[in-house]
Amino acid sequence: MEFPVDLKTTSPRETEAVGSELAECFVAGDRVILEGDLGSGKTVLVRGICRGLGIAADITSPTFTLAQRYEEGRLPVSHLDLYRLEPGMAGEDPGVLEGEFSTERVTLVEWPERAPLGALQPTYRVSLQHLGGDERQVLVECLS
Amino acid sequence: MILAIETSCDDSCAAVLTSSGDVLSSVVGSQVIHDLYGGVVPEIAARHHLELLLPVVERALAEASIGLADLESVAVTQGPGLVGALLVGLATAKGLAAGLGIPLRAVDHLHGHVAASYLAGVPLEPPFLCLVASGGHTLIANVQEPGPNWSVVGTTIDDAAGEAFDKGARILGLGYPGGPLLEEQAKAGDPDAFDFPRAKGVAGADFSFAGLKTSLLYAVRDLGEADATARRADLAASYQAAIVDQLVERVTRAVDSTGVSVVAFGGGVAANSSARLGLTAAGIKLVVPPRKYCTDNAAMIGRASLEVQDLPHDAAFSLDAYSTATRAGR
Repeated sequence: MEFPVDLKTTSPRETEAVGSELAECFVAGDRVILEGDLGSGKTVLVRGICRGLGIAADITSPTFTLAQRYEEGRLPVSHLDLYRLEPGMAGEDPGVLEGEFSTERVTLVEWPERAPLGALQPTYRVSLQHLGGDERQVLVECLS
Repeated sequence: MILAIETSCDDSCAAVLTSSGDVLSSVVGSQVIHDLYGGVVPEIAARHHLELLLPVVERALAEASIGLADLESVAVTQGPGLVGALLVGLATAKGLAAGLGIPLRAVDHLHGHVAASYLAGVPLEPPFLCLVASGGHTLIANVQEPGPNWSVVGTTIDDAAGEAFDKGARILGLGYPGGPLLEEQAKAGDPDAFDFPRAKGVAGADFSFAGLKTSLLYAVRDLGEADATARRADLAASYQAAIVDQLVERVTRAVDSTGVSVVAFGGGVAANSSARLGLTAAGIKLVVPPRKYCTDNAAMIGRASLEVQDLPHDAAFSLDAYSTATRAGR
Protein backbone atom coordinates (compact mmCIF):
# COMPACT_ATOMS: atom_id res chain seq x y z
CA MET A 1 0.00 0.00 0.00
CA GLU A 2 1.32 3.46 -1.00
CA PHE A 3 0.62 6.25 1.46
CA PRO A 4 -1.23 8.51 1.57
CA VAL A 5 -4.21 6.48 0.40
CA ASP A 6 -7.06 8.76 -0.68
CA LEU A 7 -10.08 7.09 -2.26
CA LYS A 8 -13.85 6.94 -2.40
CA THR A 9 -15.77 3.85 -1.28
CA THR A 10 -19.37 3.24 -2.29
CA SER A 11 -20.44 0.63 0.27
CA PRO A 12 -19.59 -0.61 3.79
CA ARG A 13 -18.12 -3.70 2.10
CA GLU A 14 -15.63 -1.54 0.20
CA THR A 15 -14.70 0.43 3.33
CA GLU A 16 -14.11 -2.88 5.13
CA ALA A 17 -11.88 -4.04 2.25
CA VAL A 18 -9.70 -0.93 2.64
CA GLY A 19 -9.25 -1.86 6.31
CA SER A 20 -8.24 -5.43 5.43
CA GLU A 21 -5.64 -4.23 2.95
CA LEU A 22 -4.29 -1.67 5.42
CA ALA A 23 -3.88 -4.38 8.07
CA GLU A 24 -1.23 -6.09 5.95
CA CYS A 25 1.10 -3.11 6.63
CA PHE A 26 0.75 -3.27 10.40
CA VAL A 27 3.48 -4.32 12.82
CA ALA A 28 3.36 -4.70 16.61
CA GLY A 29 3.26 -1.33 18.35
CA ASP A 30 1.39 0.47 15.55
CA ARG A 31 -1.12 3.03 16.80
CA VAL A 32 -3.86 4.09 14.45
CA ILE A 33 -6.05 7.10 15.09
CA LEU A 34 -9.48 7.06 13.46
CA GLU A 35 -11.25 10.32 12.71
CA GLY A 36 -14.74 10.86 11.34
CA ASP A 37 -18.27 11.76 12.44
CA LEU A 38 -20.75 9.38 13.98
CA GLY A 39 -21.81 6.84 11.38
CA SER A 40 -18.92 7.62 9.02
CA GLY A 41 -17.79 4.00 9.08
CA LYS A 42 -15.05 3.85 11.72
CA THR A 43 -16.28 0.57 13.16
CA VAL A 44 -16.68 -0.88 9.64
CA LEU A 45 -13.07 0.01 8.86
CA VAL A 46 -11.91 -1.53 12.16
CA ARG A 47 -13.81 -4.71 11.27
CA GLY A 48 -11.86 -4.77 8.00
CA ILE A 49 -8.55 -4.32 9.82
CA CYS A 50 -9.41 -7.17 12.21
CA ARG A 51 -10.45 -9.47 9.34
CA GLY A 52 -7.17 -8.61 7.60
CA LEU A 53 -5.29 -9.68 10.73
CA GLY A 54 -7.20 -12.97 10.82
CA ILE A 55 -9.64 -12.12 13.61
CA ALA A 56 -13.01 -13.78 13.05
CA ALA A 57 -14.85 -12.49 16.15
CA ASP A 58 -17.82 -10.11 15.99
CA ILE A 59 -16.43 -6.58 16.05
CA THR A 60 -18.71 -4.51 18.24
CA SER A 61 -18.51 -0.90 19.35
CA PRO A 62 -16.17 -0.10 22.26
CA THR A 63 -18.03 3.11 23.13
CA PHE A 64 -19.21 1.75 26.48
CA THR A 65 -16.42 -0.60 27.40
CA LEU A 66 -13.83 2.02 26.22
CA ALA A 67 -11.61 -0.79 24.91
CA GLN A 68 -12.15 -4.18 23.31
CA ARG A 69 -9.31 -6.65 22.87
CA TYR A 70 -8.97 -9.25 20.15
CA GLU A 71 -6.20 -11.73 20.76
CA GLU A 72 -6.55 -14.41 18.09
CA GLY A 73 -5.08 -12.68 15.01
CA ARG A 74 -1.62 -12.26 13.50
CA LEU A 75 -1.19 -9.36 15.97
CA PRO A 76 -3.25 -8.70 19.12
CA VAL A 77 -5.57 -5.71 18.70
CA SER A 78 -6.98 -3.15 21.13
CA HIS A 79 -9.91 -1.12 19.75
CA LEU A 80 -10.55 2.01 21.82
CA ASP A 81 -13.24 4.67 21.77
CA LEU A 82 -12.34 7.53 24.11
CA TYR A 83 -15.56 9.50 23.52
CA ARG A 84 -16.85 8.98 27.05
CA LEU A 85 -13.69 10.39 28.62
CA GLU A 86 -13.10 14.01 29.52
CA PRO A 87 -10.50 15.87 27.39
CA GLY A 88 -6.98 14.82 28.39
CA MET A 89 -8.55 11.95 30.40
CA ALA A 90 -9.17 14.45 33.21
CA GLY A 91 -10.35 12.86 36.46
CA GLU A 92 -9.48 9.45 35.09
CA ASP A 93 -7.25 6.73 36.46
CA PRO A 94 -4.57 6.68 33.70
CA GLY A 95 -3.64 3.10 34.58
CA VAL A 96 -7.00 1.85 33.42
CA LEU A 97 -6.00 1.98 29.72
CA GLU A 98 -2.26 1.38 30.10
CA GLY A 99 -2.34 -2.22 28.90
CA GLU A 100 -4.07 -1.23 25.68
CA PHE A 101 -1.01 0.74 24.53
CA SER A 102 1.47 -2.12 24.95
CA THR A 103 4.08 -2.26 22.19
CA GLU A 104 3.09 -5.86 21.48
CA ARG A 105 -0.33 -4.76 20.23
CA VAL A 106 -1.90 -2.82 17.39
CA THR A 107 -3.99 -0.07 19.00
CA LEU A 108 -6.89 1.50 17.09
CA VAL A 109 -8.20 4.69 18.68
CA GLU A 110 -11.46 6.54 18.02
CA TRP A 111 -11.80 10.04 19.54
CA PRO A 112 -8.00 10.25 20.05
CA GLU A 113 -8.30 13.94 21.00
CA ARG A 114 -9.54 12.84 24.44
CA ALA A 115 -6.21 11.14 25.21
CA PRO A 116 -3.53 13.13 27.04
CA LEU A 117 -1.58 15.31 24.61
CA GLY A 118 1.41 13.51 23.10
CA ALA A 119 0.60 10.24 24.85
CA LEU A 120 -0.66 8.50 21.75
CA GLN A 121 2.22 8.84 19.27
CA PRO A 122 0.19 7.51 16.34
CA THR A 123 1.82 5.76 13.40
CA TYR A 124 -1.21 6.05 11.07
CA ARG A 125 -4.13 8.44 10.75
CA VAL A 126 -7.36 7.34 9.08
CA SER A 127 -9.96 10.00 8.24
CA LEU A 128 -13.46 9.05 7.09
CA GLN A 129 -15.92 11.48 5.60
CA HIS A 130 -19.61 11.15 4.68
CA LEU A 131 -20.28 11.84 1.02
CA GLY A 132 -23.99 11.06 1.33
CA GLY A 133 -25.73 7.68 1.09
CA ASP A 134 -23.22 4.84 1.44
CA GLU A 135 -20.35 6.84 -0.11
CA ARG A 136 -17.33 7.64 2.04
CA GLN A 137 -14.01 9.40 1.40
CA VAL A 138 -11.22 7.40 3.03
CA LEU A 139 -7.84 9.02 3.70
CA VAL A 140 -5.01 7.01 5.26
CA GLU A 141 -1.72 8.71 6.16
CA CYS A 142 1.42 7.07 7.50
CA LEU A 143 2.84 9.25 10.26
CA SER A 144 5.99 7.35 11.18
CA MET B 1 -22.10 -15.57 53.07
CA ILE B 2 -20.85 -14.61 49.61
CA LEU B 3 -18.93 -11.42 48.81
CA ALA B 4 -19.34 -10.46 45.14
CA ILE B 5 -17.17 -7.98 43.24
CA GLU B 6 -17.83 -6.42 39.83
CA THR B 7 -15.49 -3.93 38.09
CA SER B 8 -16.01 -4.66 34.39
CA CYS B 9 -16.51 -1.07 33.27
CA ASP B 10 -17.34 2.24 34.96
CA ASP B 11 -18.55 1.23 38.41
CA SER B 12 -16.78 -0.40 41.33
CA CYS B 13 -19.44 -2.67 42.84
CA ALA B 14 -19.63 -5.06 45.79
CA ALA B 15 -22.49 -7.06 47.29
CA VAL B 16 -23.11 -9.53 50.08
CA LEU B 17 -25.49 -12.45 49.56
CA THR B 18 -26.47 -15.41 51.69
CA SER B 19 -25.46 -18.83 50.42
CA SER B 20 -29.04 -19.29 49.19
CA GLY B 21 -28.86 -16.11 47.09
CA ASP B 22 -30.69 -13.51 49.19
CA VAL B 23 -29.12 -10.07 48.68
CA LEU B 24 -28.09 -8.46 51.99
CA SER B 25 -26.35 -5.44 50.44
CA SER B 26 -25.40 -4.09 47.02
CA VAL B 27 -23.14 -1.04 46.80
CA VAL B 28 -21.76 0.95 43.83
CA GLY B 29 -18.78 3.32 43.77
CA SER B 30 -20.73 6.59 43.61
CA GLN B 31 -22.18 5.76 47.05
CA VAL B 32 -18.78 5.84 48.77
CA ILE B 33 -17.27 8.90 47.06
CA HIS B 34 -19.05 11.12 49.59
CA ASP B 35 -17.87 8.96 52.52
CA LEU B 36 -14.29 9.15 51.26
CA TYR B 37 -14.02 12.81 50.45
CA GLY B 38 -16.59 14.36 52.78
CA GLY B 39 -18.59 17.30 51.51
CA VAL B 40 -16.01 18.22 48.91
CA VAL B 41 -16.41 15.77 46.05
CA PRO B 42 -13.31 15.97 43.87
CA GLU B 43 -13.43 15.95 40.09
CA ILE B 44 -13.30 12.21 40.05
CA ALA B 45 -14.69 10.41 37.04
CA ALA B 46 -15.73 6.79 36.99
CA ARG B 47 -13.27 3.90 36.80
CA HIS B 48 -11.19 4.80 39.85
CA HIS B 49 -11.53 1.19 40.90
CA LEU B 50 -8.24 1.10 42.75
CA GLU B 51 -9.32 3.84 45.19
CA LEU B 52 -13.01 2.99 45.36
CA LEU B 53 -13.22 -0.78 45.51
CA LEU B 54 -12.02 -1.45 49.08
CA PRO B 55 -14.31 1.26 50.58
CA VAL B 56 -17.15 -0.21 48.51
CA VAL B 57 -16.41 -3.69 49.90
CA GLU B 58 -16.27 -2.31 53.45
CA ARG B 59 -19.60 -0.58 53.01
CA ALA B 60 -21.20 -3.72 51.53
CA LEU B 61 -20.03 -5.73 54.57
CA ALA B 62 -21.24 -3.01 56.98
CA GLU B 63 -24.66 -2.75 55.35
CA ALA B 64 -25.01 -6.53 55.58
CA SER B 65 -23.92 -6.32 59.25
CA ILE B 66 -21.21 -8.94 58.79
CA GLY B 67 -17.42 -9.07 59.03
CA LEU B 68 -14.78 -10.62 56.80
CA ALA B 69 -14.71 -13.70 59.04
CA ASP B 70 -18.33 -14.46 58.12
CA LEU B 71 -17.52 -14.87 54.42
CA GLU B 72 -17.60 -18.35 52.90
CA SER B 73 -16.70 -17.50 49.30
CA VAL B 74 -15.73 -14.63 46.99
CA ALA B 75 -17.28 -14.18 43.53
CA VAL B 76 -15.75 -11.90 40.91
CA THR B 77 -16.41 -10.79 37.33
CA GLN B 78 -13.71 -12.20 35.04
CA GLY B 79 -14.99 -10.60 31.79
CA PRO B 80 -16.04 -9.39 29.31
CA GLY B 81 -15.13 -5.78 29.97
CA LEU B 82 -12.28 -3.33 30.20
CA VAL B 83 -9.22 -5.40 31.12
CA GLY B 84 -7.57 -2.62 33.18
CA ALA B 85 -10.75 -2.35 35.27
CA LEU B 86 -11.40 -6.09 35.58
CA LEU B 87 -7.86 -6.69 36.89
CA VAL B 88 -8.50 -4.50 39.95
CA GLY B 89 -11.54 -6.58 40.88
CA LEU B 90 -9.71 -9.84 40.21
CA ALA B 91 -6.66 -8.87 42.28
CA THR B 92 -8.86 -7.75 45.18
CA ALA B 93 -10.97 -10.91 45.06
CA LYS B 94 -7.89 -13.17 44.87
CA GLY B 95 -6.32 -11.36 47.82
CA LEU B 96 -9.43 -11.65 49.96
CA ALA B 97 -10.00 -15.31 49.11
CA ALA B 98 -6.36 -16.21 49.79
CA GLY B 99 -6.18 -14.16 52.99
CA LEU B 100 -9.39 -15.63 54.37
CA GLY B 101 -8.70 -19.15 53.09
CA ILE B 102 -12.04 -19.34 51.25
CA PRO B 103 -12.88 -20.36 47.67
CA LEU B 104 -12.99 -18.03 44.67
CA ARG B 105 -15.59 -18.23 41.91
CA ALA B 106 -15.16 -16.56 38.50
CA VAL B 107 -18.33 -15.19 36.91
CA ASP B 108 -19.01 -14.04 33.35
CA HIS B 109 -20.52 -10.54 33.34
CA LEU B 110 -23.27 -11.57 30.93
CA HIS B 111 -24.10 -14.61 33.07
CA GLY B 112 -24.51 -12.03 35.84
CA HIS B 113 -27.08 -10.08 33.82
CA VAL B 114 -28.95 -13.31 33.09
CA ALA B 115 -28.85 -14.36 36.77
CA ALA B 116 -30.20 -10.90 37.76
CA SER B 117 -33.52 -12.27 36.45
CA TYR B 118 -33.74 -14.32 39.66
CA LEU B 119 -33.62 -11.09 41.69
CA ALA B 120 -36.91 -9.81 40.21
CA GLY B 121 -38.86 -10.92 43.26
CA VAL B 122 -41.08 -13.33 41.32
CA PRO B 123 -40.72 -17.11 41.09
CA LEU B 124 -38.65 -17.87 37.97
CA GLU B 125 -37.18 -21.14 36.76
CA PRO B 126 -35.72 -22.25 33.43
CA PRO B 127 -36.70 -22.50 30.70
CA PHE B 128 -36.84 -18.75 30.04
CA LEU B 129 -35.35 -16.26 27.61
CA CYS B 130 -33.41 -13.24 28.81
CA LEU B 131 -33.07 -10.04 26.79
CA VAL B 132 -29.98 -8.21 28.05
CA ALA B 133 -29.90 -4.68 26.58
CA SER B 134 -27.39 -2.20 27.93
CA GLY B 135 -24.83 0.31 26.68
CA GLY B 136 -22.25 -2.38 26.08
CA HIS B 137 -24.31 -5.49 25.31
CA THR B 138 -27.46 -6.58 23.51
CA LEU B 139 -28.37 -10.24 23.31
CA ILE B 140 -31.11 -12.77 23.88
CA ALA B 141 -30.10 -15.73 26.05
CA ASN B 142 -31.96 -19.04 26.04
CA VAL B 143 -31.77 -20.41 29.57
CA GLN B 144 -32.76 -24.08 29.51
CA GLU B 145 -31.21 -25.04 32.84
CA PRO B 146 -29.70 -23.21 35.82
CA GLY B 147 -26.01 -22.37 35.29
CA PRO B 148 -23.73 -20.59 32.87
CA ASN B 149 -24.45 -22.87 29.92
CA TRP B 150 -27.22 -20.80 28.37
CA SER B 151 -27.10 -20.31 24.63
CA VAL B 152 -27.30 -17.11 22.58
CA VAL B 153 -30.39 -16.89 20.36
CA GLY B 154 -29.47 -13.48 18.97
CA THR B 155 -26.91 -10.75 19.52
CA THR B 156 -26.04 -7.36 18.07
CA ILE B 157 -23.81 -7.36 15.03
CA ASP B 158 -22.68 -3.76 15.64
CA ASP B 159 -23.91 -1.29 18.29
CA ALA B 160 -25.73 -2.15 21.52
CA ALA B 161 -29.29 -0.92 22.12
CA GLY B 162 -28.29 1.33 25.02
CA GLU B 163 -25.57 2.80 22.85
CA ALA B 164 -28.16 3.48 20.12
CA PHE B 165 -30.13 5.50 22.66
CA ASP B 166 -27.05 7.43 23.74
CA LYS B 167 -25.74 8.11 20.25
CA GLY B 168 -29.23 9.18 19.11
CA ALA B 169 -29.35 11.62 22.01
CA ARG B 170 -25.91 12.89 21.00
CA ILE B 171 -27.06 13.49 17.40
CA LEU B 172 -30.15 15.33 18.71
CA GLY B 173 -28.00 17.46 21.02
CA LEU B 174 -29.64 16.17 24.19
CA GLY B 175 -26.48 15.46 26.23
CA TYR B 176 -25.02 12.40 27.89
CA PRO B 177 -25.96 9.89 29.21
CA GLY B 178 -28.72 10.22 26.68
CA GLY B 179 -31.09 7.27 27.20
CA PRO B 180 -33.35 8.89 29.80
CA LEU B 181 -33.12 12.29 28.04
CA LEU B 182 -34.19 10.78 24.74
CA GLU B 183 -37.08 8.94 26.38
CA GLU B 184 -38.25 12.18 28.02
CA GLN B 185 -38.04 14.08 24.72
CA ALA B 186 -39.91 11.28 22.91
CA LYS B 187 -42.95 11.62 25.17
CA ALA B 188 -43.96 14.83 23.39
CA GLY B 189 -43.34 13.48 19.88
CA ASP B 190 -45.06 11.43 17.19
CA PRO B 191 -43.45 7.97 16.79
CA ASP B 192 -44.74 7.77 13.20
CA ALA B 193 -43.40 11.16 12.10
CA PHE B 194 -40.21 9.71 10.61
CA ASP B 195 -39.73 6.28 9.08
CA PHE B 196 -36.46 4.95 10.54
CA PRO B 197 -35.11 1.50 9.57
CA ARG B 198 -35.77 -1.62 11.68
CA ALA B 199 -32.79 -3.64 10.34
CA LYS B 200 -35.09 -5.78 8.19
CA GLY B 201 -32.09 -7.28 6.39
CA VAL B 202 -30.71 -8.83 9.59
CA ALA B 203 -31.92 -12.39 9.94
CA GLY B 204 -33.20 -14.30 12.96
CA ALA B 205 -32.98 -12.74 16.38
CA ASP B 206 -29.80 -10.74 15.70
CA PHE B 207 -29.83 -6.97 16.19
CA SER B 208 -28.28 -4.10 14.25
CA PHE B 209 -28.46 -0.44 15.26
CA ALA B 210 -25.62 1.14 13.26
CA GLY B 211 -27.82 1.84 10.20
CA LEU B 212 -30.51 3.41 12.37
CA LYS B 213 -27.98 5.78 13.89
CA THR B 214 -26.83 6.84 10.42
CA SER B 215 -30.40 7.46 9.22
CA LEU B 216 -31.09 9.71 12.20
CA LEU B 217 -27.93 11.62 11.34
CA TYR B 218 -29.10 12.08 7.74
CA ALA B 219 -32.62 13.09 8.82
CA VAL B 220 -31.15 15.78 11.07
CA ARG B 221 -28.84 17.00 8.28
CA ASP B 222 -31.65 17.08 5.72
CA LEU B 223 -33.88 19.09 8.05
CA GLY B 224 -31.19 21.65 8.86
CA GLU B 225 -30.41 22.87 12.35
CA ALA B 226 -33.50 25.04 12.94
CA ASP B 227 -36.05 22.45 11.75
CA ALA B 228 -34.22 19.57 13.45
CA THR B 229 -34.41 21.44 16.75
CA ALA B 230 -38.07 22.33 16.21
CA ARG B 231 -38.93 18.71 15.45
CA ARG B 232 -36.68 17.16 18.09
CA ALA B 233 -39.55 15.47 19.93
CA ASP B 234 -40.80 13.82 16.72
CA LEU B 235 -37.28 12.70 15.83
CA ALA B 236 -36.74 11.29 19.32
CA ALA B 237 -40.11 9.52 19.36
CA SER B 238 -39.62 7.99 15.90
CA TYR B 239 -36.04 6.93 16.69
CA GLN B 240 -37.07 5.36 20.00
CA ALA B 241 -39.94 3.56 18.26
CA ALA B 242 -37.46 2.08 15.76
CA ILE B 243 -35.25 0.74 18.59
CA VAL B 244 -38.21 -0.63 20.54
CA ASP B 245 -39.80 -2.22 17.44
CA GLN B 246 -36.53 -4.01 16.72
CA LEU B 247 -36.29 -5.30 20.30
CA VAL B 248 -39.91 -6.50 20.19
CA GLU B 249 -39.54 -8.13 16.76
CA ARG B 250 -36.35 -10.02 17.70
CA VAL B 251 -37.76 -11.19 21.04
CA THR B 252 -40.94 -12.33 19.29
CA ARG B 253 -38.86 -14.27 16.75
CA ALA B 254 -36.82 -15.81 19.59
CA VAL B 255 -40.01 -16.87 21.41
CA ASP B 256 -41.35 -18.40 18.18
CA SER B 257 -38.13 -20.25 17.32
CA THR B 258 -37.48 -21.62 20.82
CA GLY B 259 -41.04 -22.17 22.05
CA VAL B 260 -40.02 -20.50 25.34
CA SER B 261 -42.62 -17.92 26.32
CA VAL B 262 -41.27 -16.31 29.52
CA VAL B 263 -38.82 -13.46 28.87
CA ALA B 264 -36.70 -11.73 31.51
CA PHE B 265 -35.47 -8.24 30.59
CA GLY B 266 -32.23 -6.84 32.04
CA GLY B 267 -29.57 -4.23 31.32
CA GLY B 268 -30.02 -0.47 31.54
CA VAL B 269 -32.48 -0.34 28.62
CA ALA B 270 -34.97 -2.25 30.81
CA ALA B 271 -35.47 1.09 32.59
CA ASN B 272 -37.04 2.47 29.38
CA SER B 273 -40.80 2.29 29.87
CA SER B 274 -41.52 2.39 26.14
CA ALA B 275 -39.43 -0.78 25.68
CA ARG B 276 -41.20 -2.58 28.55
CA LEU B 277 -44.63 -1.49 27.26
CA GLY B 278 -43.78 -2.53 23.70
CA LEU B 279 -42.77 -6.03 24.79
CA THR B 280 -45.82 -6.43 27.03
CA ALA B 281 -48.15 -5.14 24.27
CA ALA B 282 -46.72 -7.82 21.95
CA GLY B 283 -48.02 -10.45 24.37
CA ILE B 284 -44.62 -11.28 25.91
CA LYS B 285 -44.71 -12.60 29.51
CA LEU B 286 -42.13 -10.18 30.89
CA VAL B 287 -40.05 -10.43 34.09
CA VAL B 288 -38.08 -7.27 34.94
CA PRO B 289 -35.73 -7.05 37.94
CA PRO B 290 -35.58 -3.79 39.93
CA ARG B 291 -33.51 -1.10 38.16
CA LYS B 292 -30.58 -1.44 40.61
CA TYR B 293 -30.13 -5.04 39.40
CA CYS B 294 -30.51 -4.11 35.70
CA THR B 295 -27.58 -1.69 35.52
CA ASP B 296 -24.11 -3.04 36.43
CA ASN B 297 -24.08 -4.34 40.01
CA ALA B 298 -22.38 -7.01 42.10
CA ALA B 299 -25.54 -8.65 43.44
CA MET B 300 -26.11 -10.27 40.06
CA ILE B 301 -22.53 -11.58 40.09
CA GLY B 302 -23.10 -13.10 43.52
CA ARG B 303 -26.37 -14.67 42.36
CA ALA B 304 -24.66 -16.10 39.25
CA SER B 305 -21.85 -17.51 41.42
CA LEU B 306 -24.37 -19.93 42.99
CA GLU B 307 -24.40 -21.59 39.56
CA VAL B 308 -20.63 -22.02 39.07
CA GLN B 309 -18.00 -24.18 40.78
CA ASP B 310 -15.26 -23.08 43.16
CA LEU B 311 -11.97 -22.61 41.29
CA PRO B 312 -9.20 -25.04 42.24
CA HIS B 313 -6.51 -23.30 44.31
CA ASP B 314 -3.93 -22.91 41.48
CA ALA B 315 -6.50 -21.75 38.93
CA ALA B 316 -7.77 -19.13 41.37
CA PHE B 317 -4.33 -17.53 41.58
CA SER B 318 -3.65 -17.58 37.85
CA LEU B 319 -7.11 -16.30 36.91
CA ASP B 320 -6.86 -13.66 34.15
CA ALA B 321 -9.39 -11.17 32.78
CA TYR B 322 -10.89 -11.40 29.31
CA SER B 323 -12.11 -8.53 27.17
CA THR B 324 -14.65 -9.75 24.66
CA ALA B 325 -17.37 -12.36 24.43
CA THR B 326 -17.32 -14.05 21.07
CA ARG B 327 -20.24 -16.04 19.90
CA ALA B 328 -18.01 -19.09 19.60
CA GLY B 329 -16.83 -18.55 23.16
CA ARG B 330 -20.37 -18.65 24.41
